[in-house]
Amino acid sequence: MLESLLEFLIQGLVLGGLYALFAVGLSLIFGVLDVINVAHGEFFAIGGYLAFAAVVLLHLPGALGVLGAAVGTFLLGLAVYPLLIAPLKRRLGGRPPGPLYLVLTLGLSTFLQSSLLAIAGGDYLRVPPQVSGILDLGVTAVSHQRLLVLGVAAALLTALFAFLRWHPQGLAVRAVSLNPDAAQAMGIDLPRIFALTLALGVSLAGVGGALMAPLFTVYPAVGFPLTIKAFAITILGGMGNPAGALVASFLVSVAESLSVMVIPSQWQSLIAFAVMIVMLLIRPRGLFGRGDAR
Amino acid sequence: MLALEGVRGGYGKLEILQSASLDVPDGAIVGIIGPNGAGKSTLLKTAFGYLRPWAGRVVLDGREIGGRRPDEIMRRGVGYLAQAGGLFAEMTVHDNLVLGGYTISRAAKRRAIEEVYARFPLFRERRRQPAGALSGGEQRLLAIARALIVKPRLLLLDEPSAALAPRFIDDIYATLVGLNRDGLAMLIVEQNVEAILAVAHRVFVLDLGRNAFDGTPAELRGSDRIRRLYLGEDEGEPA
Repeated sequence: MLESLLEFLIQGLVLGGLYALFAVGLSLIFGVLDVINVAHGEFFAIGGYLAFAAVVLLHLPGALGVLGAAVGTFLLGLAVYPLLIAPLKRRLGGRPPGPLYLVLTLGLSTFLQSSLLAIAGGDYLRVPPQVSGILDLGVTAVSHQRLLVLGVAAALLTALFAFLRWHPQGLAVRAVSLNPDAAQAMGIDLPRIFALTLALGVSLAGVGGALMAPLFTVYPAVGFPLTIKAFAITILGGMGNPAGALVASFLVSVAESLSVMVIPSQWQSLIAFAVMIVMLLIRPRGLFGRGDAR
Repeated sequence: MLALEGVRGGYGKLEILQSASLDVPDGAIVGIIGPNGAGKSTLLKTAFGYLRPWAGRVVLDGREIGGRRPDEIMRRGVGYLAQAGGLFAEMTVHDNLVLGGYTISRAAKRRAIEEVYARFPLFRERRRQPAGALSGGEQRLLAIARALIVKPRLLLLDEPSAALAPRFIDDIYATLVGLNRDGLAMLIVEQNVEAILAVAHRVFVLDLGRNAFDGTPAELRGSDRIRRLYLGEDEGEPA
């Protein structure tokens, strides 16, 4: 019993790394731009395709595939605000966007999926692991690739939170999320911060896609189920609160993993959504939601 | 320094400013008073770029700035203090000051923050605390100190005395007068008429989005009509 518990706990923690890479970026984007990025999963897929292109087509080392995914999705993300969101905002003037941003990013999601399908086809592509081997922990064994996902997620998220805490641009990102008007009075260029935040958020998903490509297969819609799960995680953590999303990622992943001990595994993936619904009913702001959450 | 000429504007389709004009000379304290809903805060927001003027001109140092973004106007030497101070309440006192120096070099920012700590030792003691944990008066002083980090030439203040106890109002205005002596020009929207009349060099009364009076505080006190209509005094009652 104890061995099983430890085994599922470790598997849950590893899965939590992936969830965190994905959900923290989604939450950061919502907190700063007030936009629910439905296209987040497509950047995860693009990361996987970029890793495939680098490693399988160009025969580059796996690390370069991950780096390429980070840079490629960052650059794509930089274009999303000025090309899509800013023009809509200008057209709306001072009127609230209502569900328009949601529809816009849903359109982007469909556009990117269709583009991936047109460019790469609908085949399930395999990417060799960046690292091979298995770590035997006694009670369970974990592949080095999964540990790599956890390690890179930990390093990137530590770097992200350090950036938000200490770097002037990171402080500006936080300031915009708390009070955009006051941030402008500090001389902060909102469009620049919006573009930077979107790029940072989706590049985390892109790195996740590249790291997970050897564990999943890569296909145009690979990221969509993760997007839906990340909605549940961000609601649990408090919409727009990246630190809350980080904690919620591990809560959900460990809960999913441990649930297999008491419920049939086919119910496992419903855990996150059950938690989301319960949370919405009893505490809509989430576990760590701000009182003035935007 | 700053001039608004026949400015019309508002929110969405709601017109608040119908034709408002004023000017702030170099080094002057200019007050804007008027009844609730007169458009005082709207005027300030239009001058700072939060709202785009529908018509008329906003001119800073001879250059049209109407429609520019607030961050662009701020970089031209104009500071803005929102009604509640506009602090980032969840961030520390120190981080608020660091953000105040967002547009200047790291060395200049460090020097300016040291100057703030020397002038307001309380903020050094409480630098690690959230700005929201300060009292209302302290928060207002911190907001002023933060706006001064970049050494603006003109400060726009939206009701600096709002929701403050009288002793804090005195502190705030003593600080503002001191800053004005050093050459800082100010455009102050104020509901507390006595507080602004005591310090302003010139006063504009705004009503229904239009200018209703423009003159010195002494001239305003001397006008029975203005006193009766906007200061809530009976005709003939001494000011």
